[in-house]
Amino acid sequence: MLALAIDTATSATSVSVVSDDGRVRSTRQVVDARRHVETLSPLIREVLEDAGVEMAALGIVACGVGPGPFTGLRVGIATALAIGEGLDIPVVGVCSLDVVARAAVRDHGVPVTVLTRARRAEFCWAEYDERGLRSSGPLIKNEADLAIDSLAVGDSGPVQHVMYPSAADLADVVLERLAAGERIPATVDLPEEDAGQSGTASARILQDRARRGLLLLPPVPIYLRRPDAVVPASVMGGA
Amino acid sequence: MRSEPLVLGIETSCDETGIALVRGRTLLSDVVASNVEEHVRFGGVVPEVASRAHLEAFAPTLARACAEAGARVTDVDAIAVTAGPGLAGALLVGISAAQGLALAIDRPLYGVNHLAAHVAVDRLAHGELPQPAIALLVSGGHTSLLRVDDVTCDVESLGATLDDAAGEAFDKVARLLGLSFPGGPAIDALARGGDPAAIDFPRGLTRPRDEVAHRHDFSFSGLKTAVVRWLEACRREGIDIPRADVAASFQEAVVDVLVRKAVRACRDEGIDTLVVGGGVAANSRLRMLLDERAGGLDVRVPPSRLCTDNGAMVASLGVALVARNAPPTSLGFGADSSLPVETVLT
Ligand SMILES: [Zn+2]
Repeated sequence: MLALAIDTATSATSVSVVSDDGRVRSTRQVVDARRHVETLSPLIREVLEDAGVEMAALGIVACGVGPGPFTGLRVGIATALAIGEGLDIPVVGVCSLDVVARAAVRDHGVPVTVLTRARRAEFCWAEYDERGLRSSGPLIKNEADLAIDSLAVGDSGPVQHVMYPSAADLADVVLERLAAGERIPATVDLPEEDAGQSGTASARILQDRARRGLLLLPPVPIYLRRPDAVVPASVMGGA
Repeated sequence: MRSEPLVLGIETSCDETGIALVRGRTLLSDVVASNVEEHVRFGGVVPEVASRAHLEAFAPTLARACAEAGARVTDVDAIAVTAGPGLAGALLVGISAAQGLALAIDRPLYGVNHLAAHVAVDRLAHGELPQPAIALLVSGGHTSLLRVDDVTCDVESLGATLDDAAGEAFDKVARLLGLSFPGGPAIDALARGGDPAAIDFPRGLTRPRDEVAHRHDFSFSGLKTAVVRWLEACRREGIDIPRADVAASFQEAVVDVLVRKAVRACRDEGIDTLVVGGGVAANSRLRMLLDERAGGLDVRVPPSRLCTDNGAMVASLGVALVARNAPPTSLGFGADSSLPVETVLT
């Protein structure tokens, strides 16, 4: 089976095609925080061509579900969902911080904290043990609350190493978990991301799943935050 | 004879996730998942709430649109999606999904203008649009007079609102009268029991010098202020507010200007077809006044459900573009929240 993996939870747009023996057939990354939609679809086409893979040969789409800046995040998830609908294949999500942690632990072999910029002075944050398993988070913290004594990685935070979630690592997580018998959860297993909630409910569910060694998620963004309820003075568009 | 192309239309520019399938001039399905309810408590559309709702609604809405049309996604010959104008974050969800779908099933994709789509939807209701035509588009987001020589490639803006959109004025005045969001239907209903001539509210940009400088433009902020002052005066003097009369008189001031300017634009341009679109086109008094004052004009107002935002309008424009052999948009186009109406296809 071939997996197409996409992550747009950070400034990077990352796309890979990986076969189920773990072989990365092709992988590309473009860093541009404001051009995810302009980048993503052409990049997918490029990666498939480079891998010599036809769309129809894909068996699963994997996408990073954040946390991360919402606008870019939704570009990746919407694209993944649509490819799943078009090809009639499953779409699965993975916490984007898990993907970064996997690479960081592989490279450094120590527990890591993964940070990614949320907004203003806030960061999304999660901690991982030396095996790369999430021990706490993802949560949102203020910059001032963060006492970092372990290795920290992420996207443009106060970090020692800047790494972006790699789609190849993402595909790896998914293929490994599927091989281990983990099932793709239906969307209903994870509550809809808190239109009205504080985000703690879904964070708790994610933590509980990680404790049970479950990393696969439905393709639903991890927002960890209520929407800003600011009505623009003049709304363009509209009925 | 080759059968007509089957086009999938995707619309996510504001608070409706619309997906529809159109073959030729036949609307096979038109599914709208509205997230308007989620905005009611804010009194207006909250962009982040809308963007979240579009992503949530996309897959189920697509599935329903296909099921109702009795088609599979792979039966589609082309895809059209709103590229702008609208809320950037909301547009991006539809654009991303459309690009993913186009990649997956390898079909041409058209990123289209929302306003042109409001005009093109009339194909489905009344047959191919006689061109040139004048279009009056009125909604919570736009108030425009257009000259349409070819809805697929030649649309010109004659005038637009300088401040509030007509639908926005309805929302604001509804709030002043303690009515719920969206204000259009609430005021329309309340106005039925009121006297449209009870209060002489101002008609924006209709003074002689405006008729020169802003002949085809609109302004509704002065009207809103006049309503505020009038209500304040009532309270000061301890008079019970005749809410139905206020609603009817306000509505009359809005639709009087809309109809007056639209009919005159037709005369000015020597064009005898007037198309009306946008959510405010559902207003009953607007429809009545159009009937009264149309003279010899051919006035085309699609049924209300096609006037509000939906996938059908986008698919209908898509069909017209395919019929003209328009070159599809390259993958990787973005959202343009202020896409000018002259740009029908991005
Ligand atoms: Zn509209």
